[in-house]
Formats: sequence, C-alpha cells, structure tokens
Amino acid sequence: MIGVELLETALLLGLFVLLAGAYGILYGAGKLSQRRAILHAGFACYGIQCALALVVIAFTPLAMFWKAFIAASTLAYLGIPPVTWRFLGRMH
Amino acid sequence: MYRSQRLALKYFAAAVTLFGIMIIAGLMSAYYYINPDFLFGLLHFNIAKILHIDTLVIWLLMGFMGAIYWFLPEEFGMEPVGIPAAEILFWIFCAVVAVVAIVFIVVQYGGSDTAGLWLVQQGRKYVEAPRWAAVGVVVVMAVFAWNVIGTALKAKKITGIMVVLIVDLVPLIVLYLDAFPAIDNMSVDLYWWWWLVHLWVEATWEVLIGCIMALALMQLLGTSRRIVEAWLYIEVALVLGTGILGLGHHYFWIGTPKYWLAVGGFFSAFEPLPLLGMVVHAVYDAGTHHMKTTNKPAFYWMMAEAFGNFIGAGVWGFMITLPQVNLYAHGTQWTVSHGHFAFWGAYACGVISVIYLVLQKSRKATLVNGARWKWAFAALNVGLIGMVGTLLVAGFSQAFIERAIGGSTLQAFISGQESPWFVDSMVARFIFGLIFALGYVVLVYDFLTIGRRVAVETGATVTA
Repeated sequence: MIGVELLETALLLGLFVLLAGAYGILYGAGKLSQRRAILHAGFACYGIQCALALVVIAFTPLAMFWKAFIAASTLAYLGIPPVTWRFLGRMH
Repeated sequence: MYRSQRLALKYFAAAVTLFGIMIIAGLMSAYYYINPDFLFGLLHFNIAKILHIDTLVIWLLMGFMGAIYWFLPEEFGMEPVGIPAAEILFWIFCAVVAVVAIVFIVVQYGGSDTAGLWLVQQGRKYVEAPRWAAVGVVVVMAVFAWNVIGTALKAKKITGIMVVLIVDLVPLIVLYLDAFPAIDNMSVDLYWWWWLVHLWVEATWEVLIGCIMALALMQLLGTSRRIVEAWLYIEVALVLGTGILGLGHHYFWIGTPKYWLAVGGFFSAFEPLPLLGMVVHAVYDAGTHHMKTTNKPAFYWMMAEAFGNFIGAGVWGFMITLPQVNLYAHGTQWTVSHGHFAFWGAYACGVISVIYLVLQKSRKATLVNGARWKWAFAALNVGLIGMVGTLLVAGFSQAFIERAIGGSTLQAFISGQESPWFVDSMVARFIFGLIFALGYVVLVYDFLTIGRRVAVETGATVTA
C-alpha cells in the first residue's frame, strides 16, 4: 500500500461508518417527526454509504477478505436502525 | 442522604480534581512537542505523559465508583455494608495517588530491579504505579466489590442492573492483577498487558458505564427499569461479543501468531455495529421526551456520550482497525487521536452527566440550566474535537511520510516529525488544549455553584 492509497483507504473506511451514523440519526429523526423528507435523507446517506462500499471494494488495495467483510457489513448497517427502532417502540 | 452518597460526593470531588491534573499534564505533554527544551533536566516528557494517562484512568475510575456509591443505597433501599471501610479507603486511595504522583515527579524512575518495581514505578504504560500502590488499588477495588455484593446479600434482593454490575466486578478486579508480573520477554509481557488494558477499557469499563447510564437514565428521564435492563443486556452481549476478541487488534505487531490479524481485525471491525444501535437509542430517547428534562446539562452530556462513543470509538477506530491500514497507523498520533476521542465519548461524557445528576439531587435543585454549562459543554467539546482533528492530521503525516514513504527508518521518523503538517498540527493541538482547559474551569465553576444560585433554586418552570 503506498502513502496516498493508505490515506484514501482509511478516510473511506471512516466515512463509511460516519455515513452509517448519519443514516441512523436521520432515520430516527424522520420516524419521530414523521417527516418523509428526513427519512429519505437517511436512506440517501445509506445510499452514499453503499456507493462508498463499492469504491472501497473496487479501488482500494485491501485484501479480498476485508472487501467481503465491507460488503456484508453494508447489509448489516441497513437493518440496524429499523430493527432497533422497532424493538424500542415495542419496549416502550 | 445516605453515608454512601456522601462518600460518592467525595469521590466525584476527587475525580474532578484529577481531571484537572490530567489536563495540566496533557497541556505539558502537548507543549513538549512545540518546545522540546521545556523543563529540560527537570521533568521529562515521559513523566508528564505518565501523569496525563494515569490520572485519566484514576479520575474515570473514581467517577465510576462515585456513581455506584450514589446509586447503590437507592437500588437496595439500605446503607451499603462496609461503608466505614470504604470511607477510610477513600482517603487512603487519595493519599496513594498523591504519593505516587510525587514519586513520579521527584524520583521519576528507578533501577530495573525489584526495589524499583516496588517503590518507584513499574514502567508499563497505564499501570506505571509502583507495586505497593497497585496492591492498594486492589484492596480499594476489593472493598468496593464487597460493598456491592455484601449489600445485595444483606438486602436479600437483586436487580438486573446489579447482577450485571456484580458479574462485571469480578473480571474488573481479576484483570487488574495483570498489573503485577514483570515478564522479561516483551512479546509475552505485551500479550498479557493488553488483557488488562484492552479488556478493562473495551469490556469491563463498557459494562460498568452501561450499568451507570442505565441507573442514570431511570432518574433523568424516568425510563422504566424493564426497558433499561433489557437494553443493558443487549448492549452487554453485543459489546462483549465484539470487544473481547477485538483484543486481537493489539496483537497485530507484537510477535504473536499471524491468525490474530484475521481474528483481531474481524471482531474489532464489528465494534461500530452496537454503537450505531446506541446512537439510534439516543435519538429515540431524546425525541420521545421532547428534550424536556429538569437537568439539561446531564441530558446533553448523556447524548454527547452516545454520539462521542460512536464517532470516537466507531468511526475513528474503524479507520485504523484493519491490519493493512493499522500497519502504518499504529503508534502514531493517529491512534492518539482515536484514544482521546474514544475515552472522551465513551466515559468522560458519561461521568460528567452523572455528576450533574447527582449534584441536582444532593443540592435539591429543582432545575439545572443556565449559560455556564453551555459554555463549558461548548468549550470542552470544541477543544476536544479540535485536539483529535489536529492529532489526526499529525498522524496522517506520520503514517504517510514516516511509514508509507520512508519505510519506518530512523531518518523517516525524523522526517515525519519535522514535516510542517506534523509541526503545525502540534501547535494547533496545544491551542485547542487551552480551549479544553478553559471549558474545564467553567465546568468546575458550574459544579460548585449548581443549586446555590438563586435563579436555579427558584426556577419553577421546565424549559424545553
């Protein structure tokens, strides 16, 4: 891995998780306010996260194992906010 | 007020004092990077750094203990057993911390013999305290465990949160025993040392703060016990599930077998997932309560804990946790940046939140609000984010220039340290450190005056 690739890869990975957080926050805010625009903004963040995952898989020098991990965790991130929300709603 | 709760207030006072000493030592450590001649021949950089790191550990530990001593009698409806011993040990604990700090400053380091290990320092990061002091910490923690477990037995009742706490106290104490061995082989020594450091921070402390936040949530937002306990069980399962084997990310480059690259990377890459669940939970709590509370600072610091934990541990951690990136990033200011953000988010914000909650109760303030906590909140968080941002840039330059381009030679190390990106980042980090220190001063002033200001005590309405 050369210097530029190192920084690009690390920043992409950080941004990948940050977008998951933005998705979670906007999903929750959208559900609370019952405003579709916010909910859609959350899903847009998730869409960007998917795009970033594709970039990581296609262009970074990470080993195949880690690329497969990124692909699988992208799917897991999709489910966390709705599942958590449903669970919290049922609990309350 | 129970004696246990009066003891809790003492622990919080000690914790906040050590928080201040931590900041002073941190500013000194930061200044050495700008002016390496600073206190030349008097106090070395490594001693300032030891003081910074060790006071961090102790102030958070004292904050946790204060929180438990506060909530314990309320959980069991009685004075905890062994409180007289706990009261005496509090003063002994403080005296031990003070003596160790004086030894660090005056003696600094001893010989590599048994006397040095027992009387001066052990030379192992985070657990530098000499053995006699480490024995003292074990005794204090054992009495603390006895206070909790003995009270549960005497009260003949138990709650879900207390079960989790009691189960957590066992590894909390046992793992600390790892502070004692002096193993000659560095790989073997680091292997076991990480059990203490990682499994305290990313396992037992996570569970401990989870219990404390569960107890605080019930008082702050009136959340039902059923809900906080259910969430606590899930959180504990997820955090331990990813955190225990996440230990492996410390084993990448210390001479351990190659399989740790896969095990450590795999489990630590999972760590952001439960943290995202916590963020969603924070949004749910904030929304369903319409941000209404009689203690706004406690509420905001609790929110800061959820978000700070996610960003500091989750986002910053994920950047450097995969072995291919970690090869270049470990041991640089990049990891320092991650450490600052994660400790702040996961623990410091939580302890500050509980202190606000406890001060409201102990001083019988109907409403805690005002401008001071907002200034403190803003300055501390801006200062912290500024520090981690500049440390990140410094870490980037080290990983790029020293590791990726220079191949980790001594000359490459020097080139990395002399890079304008690194040098300027260190200056900016110091400036943000000063902002953080300013926030601490305002925070302490707010702590001292809560419930004593007329506007707060007579506040009749709860502002949303």
